[in-house]
Amino acid sequence: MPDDVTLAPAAAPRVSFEELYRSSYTRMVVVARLTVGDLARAEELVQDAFAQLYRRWGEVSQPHGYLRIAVMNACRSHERRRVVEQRHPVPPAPPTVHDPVAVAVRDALAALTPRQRAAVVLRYYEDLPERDIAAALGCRPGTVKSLLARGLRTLKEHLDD
Amino acid sequence: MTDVETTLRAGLAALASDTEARVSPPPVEDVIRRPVVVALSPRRRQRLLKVVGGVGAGVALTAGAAAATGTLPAPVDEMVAEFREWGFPAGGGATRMAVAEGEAGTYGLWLSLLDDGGYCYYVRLGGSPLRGEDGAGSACSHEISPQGPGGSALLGGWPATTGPGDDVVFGRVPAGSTAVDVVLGDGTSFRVEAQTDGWFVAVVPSSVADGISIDLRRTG
Repeated sequence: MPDDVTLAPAAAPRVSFEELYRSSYTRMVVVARLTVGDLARAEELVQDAFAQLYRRWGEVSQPHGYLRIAVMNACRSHERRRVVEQRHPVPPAPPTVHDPVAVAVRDALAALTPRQRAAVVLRYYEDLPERDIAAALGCRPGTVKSLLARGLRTLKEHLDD
Repeated sequence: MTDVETTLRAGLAALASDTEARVSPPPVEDVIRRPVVVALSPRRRQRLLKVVGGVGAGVALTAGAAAATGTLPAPVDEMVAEFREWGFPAGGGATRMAVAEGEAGTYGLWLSLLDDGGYCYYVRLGGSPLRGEDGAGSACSHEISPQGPGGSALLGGWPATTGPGDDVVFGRVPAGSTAVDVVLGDGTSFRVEAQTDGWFVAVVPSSVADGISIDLRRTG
């Protein structure tokens, strides 16, 4: 069970695990990649999250919400591991994005703290309201406001450069 | 929308397109067979902690378990209010179900029963005003009965790996169990006894190096 799982009380229409997997896998990988910055790692984290969800499938009323929380928890855990890994840095992966706006945003996102980056991705890519971001990150809506405000300020500084 | 927000959305969309073009979901059968690594972490920056799970902690717990609405520490009261804000009818206050001592202070696992069934739980570092992302993990569920120790599953949260701060594990043992084994990737392990109604909380000793995997296994 993911640590900060918050299951919303209203039951959503139930889909099968396979349907959810097919419909959500790629989008969850996008979210994870935007958060952790590495595609291969993002796929690993998302697959771990699906494996968790599969084992809890019979107990979870809102699978997509559970999945998102599991992915964000996995991303957060990854950021902790990365602190260790950075003591033994490896060569960066070759760039794969050439769109100048995308490159600028990618580089600016890297300047954020992991929590700010997660909040920004959920707000501006997933278009989630603050309450849902708070549920996904296991914090208060007020904390989300703060994370977003500080994150945007940092992004502006980097994007204006 | 500000210029930053416009640029941000455009950049995210482009990055998303790049990702979508390069991702192909593996067979679902391969994914569901993956070993599960559960992430989580109420964490602080202190380095040295002792594990106090165990039967002895039950003594301290008795007093804590008496906490109820109106006598809760303010941060716990606020957390219960936040559960309600999230839509979970936690009208009955909260009860401390397990404790673990560490250099940073006392970690308490608090349980709020919901008026319509289910529960929320919340790990708090006592004496600290820090909560949420800084000091606690929380979870709510309508899915699992709070009556009696566990269902068939081991519930809870724990970091996937040790890191440069406290590594707190917490949860509830399955029915029929009285303890849980914390198994570390360096080949060591330690046992955490359940406290009230099967709930437990413990901290990985700081002598364990960073980057070591953490897993919890049912025992007993």
